[in-house]
Amino acid sequence: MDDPTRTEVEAALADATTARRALAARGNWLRTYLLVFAAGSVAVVLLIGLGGRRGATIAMMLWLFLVAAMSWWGVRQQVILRGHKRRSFLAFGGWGVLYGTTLLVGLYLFADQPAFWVPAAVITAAPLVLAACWPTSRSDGRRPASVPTA
Amino acid sequence: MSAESHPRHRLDEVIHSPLRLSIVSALSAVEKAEFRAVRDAVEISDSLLSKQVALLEQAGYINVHKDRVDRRPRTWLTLNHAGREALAGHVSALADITQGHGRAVADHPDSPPRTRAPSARA
Repeated sequence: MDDPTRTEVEAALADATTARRALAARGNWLRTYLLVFAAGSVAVVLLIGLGGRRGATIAMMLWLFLVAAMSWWGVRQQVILRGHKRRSFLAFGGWGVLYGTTLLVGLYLFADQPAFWVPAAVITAAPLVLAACWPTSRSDGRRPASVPTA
Repeated sequence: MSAESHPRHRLDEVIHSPLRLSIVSALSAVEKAEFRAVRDAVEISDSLLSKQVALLEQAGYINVHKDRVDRRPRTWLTLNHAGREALAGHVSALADITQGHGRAVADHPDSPPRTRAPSARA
């Protein structure tokens, strides 16, 4: 194998970096996925807390639709970024704890009180939003891929 | 530098191809990617990617997994540990070969951090 020249090395690495970036960009769908669920969570919590029995029914239908639609969409994505499972687990795990606590406390102690349900709805969605906005890890924690201009 | 210690000996013959370097570099950024996504990222044809994937799989650098969605088959590609190690080693060798010129190499995410000043050319 002949020694590659500097030009050959730079060209090969430039192409490699371009391909890497293009593929990684297609893995950013998780951000949209989590933000949609966050918005849905806010709506669901407000409907349950302030909408009475009808609101709770609508909330459940909305949530079922959201889960079905996002599952359908998510399973068709073509790239899974590193850390995807951990990020999803932490996001939905944190959401689940806050959601359960909010309903437990709110339905018993603060029924139909916007002063509780509005901030509670926002706080419940926080783990999903945080996970959506958290920077994705780049190359195993090393420097981000870049190729300088000649 | 003796002949045996020249960094060219650390170049990976499988990844040395620019096309396969692009493929493994792209896969190094993700946990797994579908065949079509890799094809589009690397900008090659299905048949050419298939050949390269077969070579990389034979070398033990990538794992290939198939599943189905809506009765449509999908092929998932994953760069395994051996592949990541090979990529890191290859880029490191490139860095050593082009030492003194290698900003392009140093900026690649799998290249080692530069800890010494470029040596003077003989």
